[in-house]
Amino acid sequence: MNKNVKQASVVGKRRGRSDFWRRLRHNRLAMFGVAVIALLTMAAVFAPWLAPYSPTAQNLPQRLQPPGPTHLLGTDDFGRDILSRIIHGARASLLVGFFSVGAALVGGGFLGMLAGYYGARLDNLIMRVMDVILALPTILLAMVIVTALGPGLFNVMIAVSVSLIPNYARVVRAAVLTVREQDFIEAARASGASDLRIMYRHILPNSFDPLIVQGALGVAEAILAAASLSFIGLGAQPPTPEWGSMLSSGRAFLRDAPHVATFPGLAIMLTALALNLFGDGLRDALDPRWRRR
Amino acid sequence: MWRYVVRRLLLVIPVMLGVSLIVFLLMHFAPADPALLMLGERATEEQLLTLRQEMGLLDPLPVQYVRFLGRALQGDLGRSHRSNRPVAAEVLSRMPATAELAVAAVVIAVVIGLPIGIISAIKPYSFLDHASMFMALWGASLPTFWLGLMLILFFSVRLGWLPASDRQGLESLILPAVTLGVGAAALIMRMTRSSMLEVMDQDYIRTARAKGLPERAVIYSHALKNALLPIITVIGLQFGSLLGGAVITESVFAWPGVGRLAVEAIRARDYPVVQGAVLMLALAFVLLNLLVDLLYAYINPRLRTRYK
Repeated sequence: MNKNVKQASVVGKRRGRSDFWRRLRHNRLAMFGVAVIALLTMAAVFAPWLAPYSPTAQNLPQRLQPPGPTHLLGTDDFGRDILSRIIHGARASLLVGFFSVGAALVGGGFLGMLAGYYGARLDNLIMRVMDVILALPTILLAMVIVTALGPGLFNVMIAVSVSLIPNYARVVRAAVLTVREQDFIEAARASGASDLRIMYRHILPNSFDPLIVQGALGVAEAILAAASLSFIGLGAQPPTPEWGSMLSSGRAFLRDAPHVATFPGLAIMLTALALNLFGDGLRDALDPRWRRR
Repeated sequence: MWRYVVRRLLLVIPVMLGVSLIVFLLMHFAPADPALLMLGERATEEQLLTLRQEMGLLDPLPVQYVRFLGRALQGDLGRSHRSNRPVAAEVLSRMPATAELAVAAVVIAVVIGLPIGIISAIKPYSFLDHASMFMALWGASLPTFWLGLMLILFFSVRLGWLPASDRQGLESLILPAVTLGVGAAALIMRMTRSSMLEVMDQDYIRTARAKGLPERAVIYSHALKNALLPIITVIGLQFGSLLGGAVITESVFAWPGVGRLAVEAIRARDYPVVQGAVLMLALAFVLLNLLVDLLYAYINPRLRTRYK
């Protein structure tokens, strides 16, 4: 009997997973998002081989050239090839996006787990600290943190991840609260499982679904926030190619050479759109009831 | 109801204390010596030490924080290192410009987002619905600063229809307000659609249709009225977020608001101004969220009865 129940549960899980992949594959927009993200990741990884020129090589006689056969997306105010800088810039943007969200997921997940599992005063303390962080609009908090730490891409990653922590803490806490009092948790406790084992083996898997969706959408948010900080001079410093700082320097040439600001912005928009499409697709695939909404 | 109001008001205090502590600590550890900034590179070590003592910078950190908090509660946020003007006066003088921009952005967001969200919900899964939801996602993916530059490029540089910068009448408000409002419009669009779909699934809507009411009456007199509650909450919360989001937009359009003041102060390492600007914006954000919570509790008949 137990063997049959176990088999049924395994078959049920497999069917659930294949349903998920089927729903995701059939979502054309989500698949478009996946394709774009894959292309960008390839560009970031193979940038030194894909980029036609060095991203920092200056060529002043060729400055502010419009798109043409030698420079497909034109050149900037130092004569640097914009296409090459966009390809190399993908590294910075994707690194910031994934690192910030990864760090926030770990930090926020840990705090949310503690708050939800132990409850009472610890829950109150952690959630009040999260409330304080949330009281500052994301970009303001990130600005203040980068001001304190100094400008630079790494400090931007820290700043963005700190501002994202409360979101993930709340998601994990909510998931923990729904599962905490269930019978199988009581059974695990009664069988002598430690708190850590219960949290890791039984509770955490229940928060994967909402976290995955939030994570995918969070990468888009992190890339936009990091580009905003670079735009106002707090992110990557010259001559490091980064889309936000490229846009910032393109501002001064909007009238005569609009391509300098246009293409980096398109790159940011396309990346954020692809990630949002993928995140939405994940949400629809994980919970088909969302499609009604 | 009054107990709920008092409880929510009291909750603002620890939140603002926490915000003030975070901002104070971060600015304290910022890589700049205020005494050096004020006296310049030629100041002697003795002069710097004297000024640091006078400014209280050599006191223990908790003492500095308590002093800062005490002064802040009396409206004294220090003086700008650049202009030597009181920070509170500088920040307050810029608040109306930021508020004007945020209000205009919310109006644009509602005018665009609400009708499209309603139409999407009335015709779900149609081409119009898919197109508008894609537009909403696209709007949420647009970098604000890039959108602002592109609008400047077309409407100011190429067509010459609208001014690109500064605050000179209603014309100069359009581009920054659209830039700031597009992201909020995207969210309102999705929220409206989601809320309407949920309401239109309810039994009383089915009953209204079964009674033979015209579809227009079903949608506007029954569905929309009930769907509006969460939508109003989102609109209210967006207003608060836009105060922070205005930082980047104000930089693009040289809009003379608090956000631009904060960015300029960061570049000049004028940390008292950064501190003051961030605190004021955070306070406005917290109070707006409080107002939205109270309004929601008041207009939602279920909550109003519960808190009576």
